[in-house]
Amino acid sequence: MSVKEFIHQALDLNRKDLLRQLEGLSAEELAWQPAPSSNSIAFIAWHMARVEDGWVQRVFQRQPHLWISDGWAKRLGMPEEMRDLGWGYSKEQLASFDAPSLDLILGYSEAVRRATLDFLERWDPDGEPVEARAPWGQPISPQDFFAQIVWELNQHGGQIAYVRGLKRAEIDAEYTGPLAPSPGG
Amino acid sequence: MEARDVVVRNFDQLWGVVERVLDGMTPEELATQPAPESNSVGWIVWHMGRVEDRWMQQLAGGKQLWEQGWAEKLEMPADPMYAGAGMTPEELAEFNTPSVEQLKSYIEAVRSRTADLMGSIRPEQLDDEIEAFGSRKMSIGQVFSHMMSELNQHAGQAAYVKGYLKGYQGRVV
Repeated sequence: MSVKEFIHQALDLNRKDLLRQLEGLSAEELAWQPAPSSNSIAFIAWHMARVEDGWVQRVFQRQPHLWISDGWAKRLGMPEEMRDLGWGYSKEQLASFDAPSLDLILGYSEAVRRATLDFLERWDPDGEPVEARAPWGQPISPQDFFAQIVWELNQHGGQIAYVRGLKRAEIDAEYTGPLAPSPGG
Repeated sequence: MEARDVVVRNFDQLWGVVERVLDGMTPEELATQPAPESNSVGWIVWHMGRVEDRWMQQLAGGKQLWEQGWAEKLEMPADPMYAGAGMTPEELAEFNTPSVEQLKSYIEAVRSRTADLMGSIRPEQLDDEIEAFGSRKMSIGQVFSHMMSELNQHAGQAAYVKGYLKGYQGRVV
């Protein structure tokens, strides 16, 4: 299995989990914060897509985020501001975050993911090194980024699942972790 | 870069998050459940150690470290199936939360075994299939994708619950 196939598989698994974690949530559940410094599900899902968009478009392809170029900021009724990825929000900013609808969050994150997979497809791990700098100034390669995005997205996805369970007092009946009894015994 | 490097980086990063989450937590905080159906940080981290231990046993054969003295050290049942999946709210409430030191030493042992195994994995082996837990055919590559997904999600949860209990404590990533 090549590294590209492996990353693709990890991203697909992440997407599948995210869709299940978000499925059927109401506007109120999406916007709910368990505590003033704890993020809502809508904020987490929006942040995940914003970060992925920023890396793929701006850092590696030096072009505007889909947030702007593809009209998503307008659709979500939010500022066309590339620097705003959800980092460093104060409690007050979190409280006044205008949670987008599930359809808009999913639409944006799907558009971002398509572009990520397209970038992955075109990337040649054995080709010329791609020069890029992370927002904090250090050089970063596509392989560094792909390794990082897998942990970043999954860690946030786990948080969405947790907040969902906290809000709904819901036990994940579909959870089939490696240790669950096998189907049919 | 090989797929293995992605896995190794993910494991290093997420266990680093866990270490920073555990730092500065009191035994009470470690055992606090935000709700009866919601897991404590201590439970989540223990479960993560059990998940990696169980999968590594599937890949490397032999016994889980849990069965080789670690259950006793953490004062829990030595049952190799005792790993957290499917626990009821009642079982969660009665869970004997380990100390930070107990958790860190078990995780260190598990990670050391993982490092040995990762050191010997060749790219072509990722396509080899195993019969995971006697029921599910999976390639070794799928096992690693699954582990990255599951362990990262739990690491994110541990960080989230710490922030929920204590307020923002600075970045853990």
